[in-house]
Amino acid sequence: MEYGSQFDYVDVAGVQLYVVRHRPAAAPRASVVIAGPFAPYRPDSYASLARWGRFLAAAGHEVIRFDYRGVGESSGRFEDFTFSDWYADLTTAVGLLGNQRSVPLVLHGVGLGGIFAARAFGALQGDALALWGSPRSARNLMTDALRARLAGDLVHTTTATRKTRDDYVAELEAGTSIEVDDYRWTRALWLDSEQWNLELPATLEGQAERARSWTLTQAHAHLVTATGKGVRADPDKKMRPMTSPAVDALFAETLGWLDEVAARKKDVA
Amino acid sequence: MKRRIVEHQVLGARLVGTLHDPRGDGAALVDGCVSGKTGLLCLNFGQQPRAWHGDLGARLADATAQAGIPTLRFDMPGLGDVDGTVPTYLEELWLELQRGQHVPVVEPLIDQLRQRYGFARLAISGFCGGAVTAILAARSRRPFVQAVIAFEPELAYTLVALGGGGEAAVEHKREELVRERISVAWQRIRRPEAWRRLLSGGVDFGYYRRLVREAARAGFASVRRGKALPADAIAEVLETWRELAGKGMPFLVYSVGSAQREAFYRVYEDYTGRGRLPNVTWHALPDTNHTLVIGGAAERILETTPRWILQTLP
Repeated sequence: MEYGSQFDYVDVAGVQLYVVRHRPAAAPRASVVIAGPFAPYRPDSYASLARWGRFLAAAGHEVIRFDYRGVGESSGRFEDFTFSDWYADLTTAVGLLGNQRSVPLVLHGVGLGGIFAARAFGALQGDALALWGSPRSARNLMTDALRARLAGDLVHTTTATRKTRDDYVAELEAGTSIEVDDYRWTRALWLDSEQWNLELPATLEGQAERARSWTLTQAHAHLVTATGKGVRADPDKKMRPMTSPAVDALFAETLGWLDEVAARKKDVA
Repeated sequence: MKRRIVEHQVLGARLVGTLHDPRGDGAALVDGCVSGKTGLLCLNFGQQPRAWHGDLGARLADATAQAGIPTLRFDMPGLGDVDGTVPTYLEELWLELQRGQHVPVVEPLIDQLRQRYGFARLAISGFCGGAVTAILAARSRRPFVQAVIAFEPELAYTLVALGGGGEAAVEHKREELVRERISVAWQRIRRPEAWRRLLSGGVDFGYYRRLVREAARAGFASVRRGKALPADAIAEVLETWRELAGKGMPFLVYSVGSAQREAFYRVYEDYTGRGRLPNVTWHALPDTNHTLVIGGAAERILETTPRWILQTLP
């Protein structure tokens, strides 16, 4: 199916939020808002998520994806924002669809975005929820990401004394910002992370038709972490990083579930 | 300063880019809107989206635009927001870029930017593989392109993984690895804890015996080669660099200031003009990595680049 892509900025309190819309040529069967991974994982995941948006539009679904404020193509500085701000960016993106919706709204969280999508879903902002590789909490995510800082210290720091993870946490809690994975973490970000856990409404238990979570394999790890590069074995069995990681099976499976969501809503209507 | 989305049709591809417009709110994006100004075009890493790692590309463009320099960043076909096909494996993409595959896209893009926005002249920048594209496009688009900014420029082909380029290239990659290992060993010698390990017998002496043998072999190979370029050098880029810099085109270069990386770039100094030509300004940044974000590198780049452009292209 033909589709079109539109790239734009939306003003959010003086900051430019980058929003991309992929629309099918015909009337969409569902609207999908994608909340993406944590900032350091954007470069490796971006190509796949852009492809995913186009893939869904070609299959007849309208897609909105966006960059969190302070990240990527959105303006602002990363260190000026927290998880609460990025959740607000998701609700802004959802708001672009307007209040009158004739098709189901699917909130799709990738990595960190899953925590936000689940929260929005719990606040009755969507009809269905799809999660790819979501962490248990933002605090867990940050704690894991600190490993990257420790690894970087081993390679790049020339001093004899190296800091531990607890040292960095103590610095954050004392108000010193630290550099992790190319971004500057602040005390505000660290403290705010405690409020953001992956929470699914209890009423959803067993309702796979409304909420579905996928655990990502190594082939898909690049979508949510810097440690996965979308590797695949070549004919000589050597693991090589891929430009276009093999996500087709994940795309197909998720699309199949989305199509069922769209069909059920249509039947009910 | 305001970011604006811009799109250009080039060779059948819809290139999506961001213009960092110094004019800010209220100013319309119309033809000739930056007439008479010096602009900056930023080309990214091989496979990364146009914001670069750590959003350094976006932050740099904000900084240059805030200094009054309209700055553009584009995704190339099949990358970032631009539809298209790319090779399956990263190394294949890198090899294509090193062979100049994006040059035929960037050349007409530069022509369109000049026509559409009215720039008086352009500085062109590129990161790693993007630097290859920038240098080659600068040659064909003189005198409109008047300066090159290269971040961790890629000067050698990615050949080892693909096994291409012949035995000579593979041999040179081995030499490079030996040079890097010698640099690391030399760094360790200067640390007290390394001597403590040595004296306590906690060192793999076999490793160091092999290193000495390989260093001797690499040394002989280097003497035999003389002034000729290594077999895996991207000769066209180096020749173009030498030509442009030799004719006075200003170059601003940022690289990782590690012993290994310095050893890599030292091999090409006859071509880059580093330390010899006054129009080549080179910053080797310490305590950082290939993405040039950590260890204060980003701050240095954001501070230095706008100032260099304004001084060099007043």
